Amino acid sequence: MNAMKDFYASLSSARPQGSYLEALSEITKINRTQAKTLMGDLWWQSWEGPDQKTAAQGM
Amino acid sequence: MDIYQSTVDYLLTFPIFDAWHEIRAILQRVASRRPRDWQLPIIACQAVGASPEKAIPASAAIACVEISILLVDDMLDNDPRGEYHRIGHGRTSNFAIAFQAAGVDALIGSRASTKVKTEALNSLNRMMLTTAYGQELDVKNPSDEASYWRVVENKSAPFFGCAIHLGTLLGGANVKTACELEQLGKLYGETIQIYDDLNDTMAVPANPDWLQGRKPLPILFALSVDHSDHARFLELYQSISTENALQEAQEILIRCGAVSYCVDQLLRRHQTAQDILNKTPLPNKGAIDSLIEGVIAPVWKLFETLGLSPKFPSAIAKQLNQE
Repeated sequence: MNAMKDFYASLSSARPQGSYLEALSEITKINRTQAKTLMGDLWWQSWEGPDQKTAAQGM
Repeated sequence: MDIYQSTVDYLLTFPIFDAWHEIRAILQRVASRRPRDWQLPIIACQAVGASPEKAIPASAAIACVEISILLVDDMLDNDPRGEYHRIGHGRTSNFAIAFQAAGVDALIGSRASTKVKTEALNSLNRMMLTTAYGQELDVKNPSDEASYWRVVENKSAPFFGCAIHLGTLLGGANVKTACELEQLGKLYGETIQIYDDLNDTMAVPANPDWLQGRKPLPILFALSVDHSDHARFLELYQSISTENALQEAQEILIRCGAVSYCVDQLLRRHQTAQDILNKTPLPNKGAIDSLIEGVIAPVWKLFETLGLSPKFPSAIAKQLNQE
């Protein structure tokens, strides 16, 4: 399985403007704060999110 | 209907919750946090055209089994928040056994036909067994891509697949529909795992995954791919507690394409889930559609902040379908 390496190679090669890969390559230019957009409010549906993971905490 | 109250009320009809106040207290505490996962059987049941009440035994089973899994997961991960710190490993393991058995009881107690109950019990049992195997694989800290996805497939996906499967079964769906939606649930579970990995690696201060030398998806990417910052990333990964190391390592994760790769994997699962939904005849597709659109929404939000067109999601779908 080399999906990661294949993906990296695709990301590093020439891409048509407006393409799917072009959009993903834009993500390599974001800052850490923008990256946190991805986390958003998802903790509440997370498998191991904050205050969710420990089932019996504070029993 | 408040599904959390209904789920707790249903479980409290079982004598063990009356006799054993500690497990009753755990159940009520978890319910007060209104875990999203308890809703999955209800959503699936509504999608196949049945009333939500029919899925309450499934929600109860999922609630109990999730508590069981997380009690054990805390011990396996050495999680500092774990209940085992307070009451010890032995009692925590015993609680986990109790909740697992209570989950089985919850299904046995449903009013579904014997045939449906048998299928539901099979599903729950398969999930518990597979998840335990996945936990064992995870403890071994997978260090390559194939091993990583094997863990996700066994540890994360089955729980969500089962939650959806149980809801469809108790809602009266046929076997084919139930299996298709189970697959969709597994994709949802994989999506949640990828988000978890992103969350863990981008958290400040450093998440235990960094400190314990684990390899969630973005870190695995940065360690596996031959990018220009590879040597520096490895150095930072091995000394993440030093000043500014975390910030620099997280910046490399973004720059080398690790976050992009996670987004790619999220979008691929989203597209596959949409394809399953499109081909599955359901009386109420909207229930499932909201679920899978809700989970991908942060990706659309990120693209929006990057100035990409609101029509971009459909363009992505078209391109993924052409591959």
